[in-house]
Amino acid sequence: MVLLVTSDNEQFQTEKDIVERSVLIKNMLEDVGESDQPIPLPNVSSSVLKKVTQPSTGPTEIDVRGRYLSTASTTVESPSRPPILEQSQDETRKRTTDISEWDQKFITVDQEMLFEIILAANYLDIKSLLCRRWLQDGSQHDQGARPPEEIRKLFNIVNDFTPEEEAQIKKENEWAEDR
Amino acid sequence: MSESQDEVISTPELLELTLSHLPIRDLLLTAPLVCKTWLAITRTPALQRILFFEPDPSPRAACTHNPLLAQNVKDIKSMPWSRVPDAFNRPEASWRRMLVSQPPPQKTLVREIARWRGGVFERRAVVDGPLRMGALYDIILPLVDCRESAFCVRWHRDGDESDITLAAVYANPSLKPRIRVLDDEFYTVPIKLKNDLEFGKWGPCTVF
Repeated sequence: MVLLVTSDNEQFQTEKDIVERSVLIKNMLEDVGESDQPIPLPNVSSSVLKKVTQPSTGPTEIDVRGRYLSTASTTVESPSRPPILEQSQDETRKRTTDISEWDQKFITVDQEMLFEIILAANYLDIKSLLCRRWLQDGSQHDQGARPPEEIRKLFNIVNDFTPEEEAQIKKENEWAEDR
Repeated sequence: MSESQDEVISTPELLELTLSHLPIRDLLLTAPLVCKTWLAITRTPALQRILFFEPDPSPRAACTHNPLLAQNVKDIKSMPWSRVPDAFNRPEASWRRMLVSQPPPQKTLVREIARWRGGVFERRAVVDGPLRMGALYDIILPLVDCRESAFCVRWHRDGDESDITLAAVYANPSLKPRIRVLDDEFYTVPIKLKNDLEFGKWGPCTVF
């Protein structure tokens, strides 16, 4: 067992093999050797650490990439989605079956928590936890990225393209909108 | 906007990592349109590799075919020219720059094979460098458009003399084009076919 101390001074007793998913902690453990000293994690809050270190119910490889973040429902189409972002039946079905129960539980966190997890995961060097959830529609029946306008609105990003520049980018990739 | 959102959005490395988990279609169509910063991030080497625009130098066991091309271009004869011909035919269309696979074939062998006067003959051309879809298209189209022909693509494993072979098989090389198979079906705007390949001389075909 390893003792971790979070930014809000909460102590965690965690299995060694779970915390060793984190490259940072693994290196720290190697540095200190066998020791009862608590490991401080000044960038990680206790609520986030709980998510990051969720034990064995998770996938054996924590590298589930963005996969678990594509939420799945084949029955409801989001009406706001432009037709170009709709996915083929096959793809949708594949994703639906791909998502494990653990994955589904994992994504039931709010937006703010997701950003904290991204930061914590980056700090702890668990790259696989980085996710694209926040680029997607929050609704259950989402299947693709939000349109650019929505992403801008959501994150207060100013559209600094001229209409001509925007049109040029669209022109290059327009072929891929057809399916 | 919350603090952690702000930090993720404004840290290029984090944004790049996050975007790298997007489905390739969203990475191509949506991410570059958000703002200039996002556009710049989709042009980093890591994301250009994910988008099949730059060859991936890291060794890997299996070769991945470009899923966008596989979806949209199931085979050369079913390209959806007739539905969005302008989007496909414009010179800046990004599919032309896309690698056909990751890692891409570095050496492409083009074979023209002809059954002729009781024998089988062939001539060959070799194209070096990572194979992109635009080049592949330019190579294939004149081959399949000119004569009655059958066409096949073969992917190779390590140790073969080329990474990919494109072969056109003609019933008779002296036949003038009888059917221009591609005329109406596959593009609506006539484009000038170019075939800059330097073929060797015709000779007996040993491997068929």
